[in-house]
Amino acid sequence: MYKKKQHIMPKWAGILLLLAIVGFSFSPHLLPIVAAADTAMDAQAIAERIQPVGKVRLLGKPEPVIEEKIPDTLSHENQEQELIPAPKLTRSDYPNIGVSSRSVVWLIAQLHLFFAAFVLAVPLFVLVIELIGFKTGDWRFDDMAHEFMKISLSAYSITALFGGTLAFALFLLYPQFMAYMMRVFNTQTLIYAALFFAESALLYIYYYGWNAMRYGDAKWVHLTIGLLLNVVGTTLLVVANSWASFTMAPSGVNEMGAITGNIWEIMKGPLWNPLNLHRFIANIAFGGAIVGAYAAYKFLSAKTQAEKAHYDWMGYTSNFIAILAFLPLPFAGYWLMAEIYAYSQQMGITAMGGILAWLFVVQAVLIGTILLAGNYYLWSGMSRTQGSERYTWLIKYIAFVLVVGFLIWVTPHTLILSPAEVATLGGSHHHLLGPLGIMPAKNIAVNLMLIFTFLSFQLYRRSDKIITVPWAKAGNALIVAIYVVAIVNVIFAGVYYGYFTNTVYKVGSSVIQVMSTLMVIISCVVIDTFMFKGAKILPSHWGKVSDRSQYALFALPIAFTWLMALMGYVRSSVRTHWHVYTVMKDNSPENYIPAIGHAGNMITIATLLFLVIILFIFWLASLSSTKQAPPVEQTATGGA
Amino acid sequence: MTFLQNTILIWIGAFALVLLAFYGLDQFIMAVQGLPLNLDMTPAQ
Repeated sequence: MYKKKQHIMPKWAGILLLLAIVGFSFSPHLLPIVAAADTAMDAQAIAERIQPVGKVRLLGKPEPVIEEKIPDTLSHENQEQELIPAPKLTRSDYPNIGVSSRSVVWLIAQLHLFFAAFVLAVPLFVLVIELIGFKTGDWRFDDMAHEFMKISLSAYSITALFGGTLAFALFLLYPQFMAYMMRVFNTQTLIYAALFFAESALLYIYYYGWNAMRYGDAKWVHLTIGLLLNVVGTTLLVVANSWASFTMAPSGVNEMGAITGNIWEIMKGPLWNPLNLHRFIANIAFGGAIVGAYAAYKFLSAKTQAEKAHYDWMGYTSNFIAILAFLPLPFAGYWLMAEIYAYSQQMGITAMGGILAWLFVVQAVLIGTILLAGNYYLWSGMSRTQGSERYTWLIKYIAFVLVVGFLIWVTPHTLILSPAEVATLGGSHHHLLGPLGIMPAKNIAVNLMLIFTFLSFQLYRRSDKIITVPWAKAGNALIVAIYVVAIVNVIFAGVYYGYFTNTVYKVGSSVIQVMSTLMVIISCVVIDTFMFKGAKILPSHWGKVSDRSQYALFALPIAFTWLMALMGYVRSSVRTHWHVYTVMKDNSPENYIPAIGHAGNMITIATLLFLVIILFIFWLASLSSTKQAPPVEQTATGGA
Repeated sequence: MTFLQNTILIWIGAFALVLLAFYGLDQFIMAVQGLPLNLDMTPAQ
C-alpha cells in the first residue's frame, strides 16, 4: 500500500530532469546539424544557397547547366560546395518483380502509416488521462489509460514490422530514388533510427512500469517518462513528415535537385508545418476512434454489468477524444491546401480542380459519416441520465442542420455531362445547385456542422447537471447569443464575401468563419466551466446505453481509416509524374496519377487489411487478460 | 446587479455584447489580412 511519506524522488525532480534533457537536446553539442544551421547563417552563406534556387530560365535560352565538379578529396571545403544534380532515371532503373511496384509500396506504406498514426497518438491522450486520474484521485482514469496503452503496445511491433518492410520494398523497387533521398537527408536518417530506439525504450518502460510507479512521487516520474515518450514520438512524426513534404515541395536544393542547403533548410519546406499540424491532430482523432471501437467490442462482449459500465465509459471517453480532435481538423486541412496553392497553383489545381477534385466529394461523404456517427453516439448517450430530457427536443434540429450541411458539402461543382444533359440543365452548372458546389457554400456547411456538433457535446455535458449559480439566466442568454450571432456571422461571411466580392475577400472571409466557430467552442467551454461550479450532479447510469450506439463507435474508425487512405492518395498524387516535385522525374512504368477506380480498390484493400489486423490486436489484448480455469482433479469414483 | 434579474434586459444585453464582439472580430481579422472593411462591413478600397 502507498505510504504518503515514502519519497522515492522529490516531486519536481522529474520535471527538472525533463527540462534538463530537453535543454540538452537543443544544445549545439548534441545536434550538430541544428548547430550548423544556426552558425552558418551568415549573409554570404545564405546568398550562396539561395542563388541557384532563384535562377530563372528565360524563354528561348538554353537550360542552365550545373557543372559536375571533380570531387577534391583533399579539401573538405570543396566537398561541401559540390553540386550533384538529382539522377535522371530511365525505365531500366526500376526493377521489375512481375507485379506493380507502386501497388506494393502503396499498400505497405499505407498500412505502416495507419499503425504509426495509432501508436503515436495513443500515448498523447493517455498521458492526459493519466494526469487527470492522478490529480483527481479517480483511479478509473488510471486503469483506463493503462488499458489504452495495452492496445497500443501490440500495435507498436506491427508498426515496426511494416516500417521495416516498407524500407526494404522502397530500396528494392525504387533504388535510385532512395539513393537520392539518402543523399539529401543523409545522417538525419540515423538520428531517426536513434529516436526509434528511444521511443521503444520509453514505451516499454512507460507501459511495464505503470504499476511499479503508480502512486505519489513515483507517479511524477512515470508521467515524466510519458511526456518524454510523446516528445520523442512527435519528433519521429515531424522527421518522417519532412521526407513526405520534401517530395511535394522540395527546399534546400536547386532546380536540378542538387543539395544547396543544410539539413534544416531541407526539412523546413513550405508544406512541412501544415503537414505536421494536420497529421498531429488527425492522429489523435484516429487513435481516439480506434480505441473507441475497442471499447465497443468489449462492451458488446461484456458478461457483467460492471464490465459494461467500464467499457461504456471508455467508449464515451474515446468518442470525446476523437470528435474533439476532429473539430479543428478541417481548419488544419484548409491551411495545408492553402499552402499547397501558395507553393504551386498548378499543384493546388491538380488536387482540387481536376480528376482528384471528385475525391473531395467522397471525403465530404466520409466526414459527414463521422459527424453523424459521433453525434448519434452522443444523443444515445444522453439516455444515461434523466436530466437529458430537458434538451432532447433540440436533437431533431441539430440532425436537420447536419443533414443539410452534409448535402451541401457533397454537391459537386463540375458534372460530367452528355450534350443532352447540358441542354436540359441550360448550362454546365445547375442554376440552383451550381452555387452550392463552390467553396463559400461548403465553408458555411462545414462550419455549421462543426458548431452543431459542439452543441451536441455541450448538451451532453449539461444533461447530468442542474446549474445553481445565481447568474445562470444571464449565462444561458450569453451562450444562446454566442451561438446565434456566430451562425449569422458564418452565413453572412460565406454569402456576402463569398459570392458578392472578389476572390481575395472570399478567401479572407473564410478566416472569419473559422474564428467564429472557434469562438463558440472556446467561449462556451469557459462559460460552462464557471456555470458548473456548485452544480447539482444527477446520477448517470453507465452501461445502460443501447447496443445500437456501439455500432456508431465502429463506424468512426472505419470512416477515419478509409478517409486517411483516400486523402493520402490525393496528397501523394499531386506530385503527378515526379518522384520529387520539379526536381526528380518518375520514369517508372506507373508515372501517372492512378485512376480513381484502381485507387478505390487499393484504398479499400488497405482499409480492410488494417481493420482485420486491428481486430487481431483487440483479440490479443483480451487474450492477455484471460485466465484458463485450473483443471479439476480426477476422482476415483469416475473410473470404470 | 439587479439588471441580472430583468429577463428582457438580460437578452438585449447579451445580444448587444456578442454582436459588438463579433463585429470587432470581423473588422480585426480582415484588417490583419490586409483587407480592411468599412463600418458597414463592405470592402474598403
